Amino acid sequence: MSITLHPDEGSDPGRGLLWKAGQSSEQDAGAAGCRLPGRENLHRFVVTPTAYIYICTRLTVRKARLIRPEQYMRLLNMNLSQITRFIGETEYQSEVNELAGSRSGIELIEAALTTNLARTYRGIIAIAPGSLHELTSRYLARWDIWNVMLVLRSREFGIPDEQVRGVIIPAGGLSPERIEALLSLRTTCEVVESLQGWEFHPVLAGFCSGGYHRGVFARVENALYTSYYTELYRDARSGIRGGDALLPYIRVEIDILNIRNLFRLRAGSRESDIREFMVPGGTLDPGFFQRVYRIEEREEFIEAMEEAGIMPVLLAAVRDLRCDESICESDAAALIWDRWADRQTPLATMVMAVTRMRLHRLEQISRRHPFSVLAILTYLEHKRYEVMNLRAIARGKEFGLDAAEIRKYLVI
Amino acid sequence: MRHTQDIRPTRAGLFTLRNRLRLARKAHRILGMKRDGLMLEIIRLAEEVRAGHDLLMSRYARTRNVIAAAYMIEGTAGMTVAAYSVEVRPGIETSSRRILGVTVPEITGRDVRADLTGRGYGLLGTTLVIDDLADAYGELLEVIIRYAGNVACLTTLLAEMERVSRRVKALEFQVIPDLEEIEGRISRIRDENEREESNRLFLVKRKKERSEDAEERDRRIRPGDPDASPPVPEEQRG
Repeated sequence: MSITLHPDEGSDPGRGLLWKAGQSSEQDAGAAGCRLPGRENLHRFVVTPTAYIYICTRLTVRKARLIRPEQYMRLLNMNLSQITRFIGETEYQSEVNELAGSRSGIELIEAALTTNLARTYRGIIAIAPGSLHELTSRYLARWDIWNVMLVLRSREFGIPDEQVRGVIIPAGGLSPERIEALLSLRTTCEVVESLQGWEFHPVLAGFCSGGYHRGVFARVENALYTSYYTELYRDARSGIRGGDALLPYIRVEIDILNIRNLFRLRAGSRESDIREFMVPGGTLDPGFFQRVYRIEEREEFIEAMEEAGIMPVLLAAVRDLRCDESICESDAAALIWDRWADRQTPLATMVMAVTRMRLHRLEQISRRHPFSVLAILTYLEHKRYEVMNLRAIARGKEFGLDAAEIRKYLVI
Repeated sequence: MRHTQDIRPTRAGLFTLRNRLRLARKAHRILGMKRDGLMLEIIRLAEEVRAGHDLLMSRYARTRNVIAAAYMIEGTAGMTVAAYSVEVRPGIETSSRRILGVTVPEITGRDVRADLTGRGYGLLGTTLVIDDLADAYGELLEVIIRYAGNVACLTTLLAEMERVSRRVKALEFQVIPDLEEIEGRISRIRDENEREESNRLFLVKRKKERSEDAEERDRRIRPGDPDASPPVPEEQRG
């Protein structure tokens, strides 16, 4: 078996560790069959432990170069043009320069941030080796679902392509060219057919046969995301390298997602059975959420929250939200119960506090597994929230909110 | 003026005028009652409109806060995608009802608020700030529709009250005084005519009596005069 350095990777000292294997790699690529464009080449690399160490170290360094909390504090005191200048001097420079001709103000900031996020994610998929690549692609497939659902809806509701292009975020496995090809199709059925080979295509298979009726897109979207989490969970459990490290984080994410949706359904829905909206795979099973959904008694509700281990999370979120460490568990429980009893969603700022905790949790887990997919995911999530923070500051400034109010929406 | 046209200072004219005056007074009383009723309804509705306006402003402020939070969390892309997911467009239906005989518009909303699972977007791909925003806009739209209906109703009632009020004032200060004045004038004219007629008859009667008295005196002054003898009755002559 001849081993040669991949010509595209040669200039990067880190990538020099990714070797191209001749015969066997082509068989792997053939076996991949329906894999997404751009993925096939990566399977041709013989991945050494050094490659894992390299990519994880590289992303850890990149994470350290992200905007620091004290810089956010400075940004909170800037106006929009100063913020644009600030991000134009950081790693968003090329996007700001590229888009400055066609957009300005908040639109320029948002477009530059989103474009940079998409490029960063695609770049990471491109450099992640072996199982890290698989898991990273799988993790970022949520952006593919975003884009596919957007294209499907645009075909059904006749949304102009130009408007759709403005909100497409090609940060997943589907390349911008393939998404553009989808946009050139006229009907939803053609889009579904052309997605043959996409990992979630089986979910869409029955979409065309039923035709359009009200609520079908929401159901398909839910099914796609459920499939996304199910497959991510299954892949993590399948013995794939680094999967065991990812598993605790996926469970935390699924639990938070389910708890959030439990409150949302309680507040805005009259569904009798919510199990179809609950994603399996978390530490709490859908049956538990179904039971909690019907609770009308305060004691029973608090008992269920304690049983689920949610109360410490909510307590920390309330303390973070109120900036008051003296808040006890009963105060947090009273606050949560009041919103539950009034059929109101939790405060958005409280959700932000939970997100901060989730990110903190991810970082904790990733420290225990420094050369796993978690190092990549930590960077991806921090990058995502850096973009969100910058957008929140810019949007907050545009809406004339004061710095203290904007601060509540930052994940730092 | 129309209400004073075709009236002659005759007995028939006076009857016509009195009928008109009676009708005008009755119309004044009824329109006055209608104006009072409209006034009460407007006062009630004005309170409702004011309360609706306050609610509208507070909900608008809340919606502004929620949309600011939504833009901060979701960004333009997230907001736009959520907006593209909407499958049912809210609409309005207009009908009419009658208040104190006035036809006022009635505006009702259709599909203004939807259940979380019926809004069109997927639950798993969105965050709860989108729910809050959809709820806030649903509530705002409800208030806008109710407020618009009340304002339209109030505007119609105000226009009607202005019209009725103008009529009441016209009856009170123009028509009825005119008719009363004309009635008085006709009465005076008729009295004057009557007096003239009486006087004429009196004068005729006096003249006649004077001529008779003069003839009698002449007969008494010339008793031997055959010409002064009393005329012989016709039957005696034959």
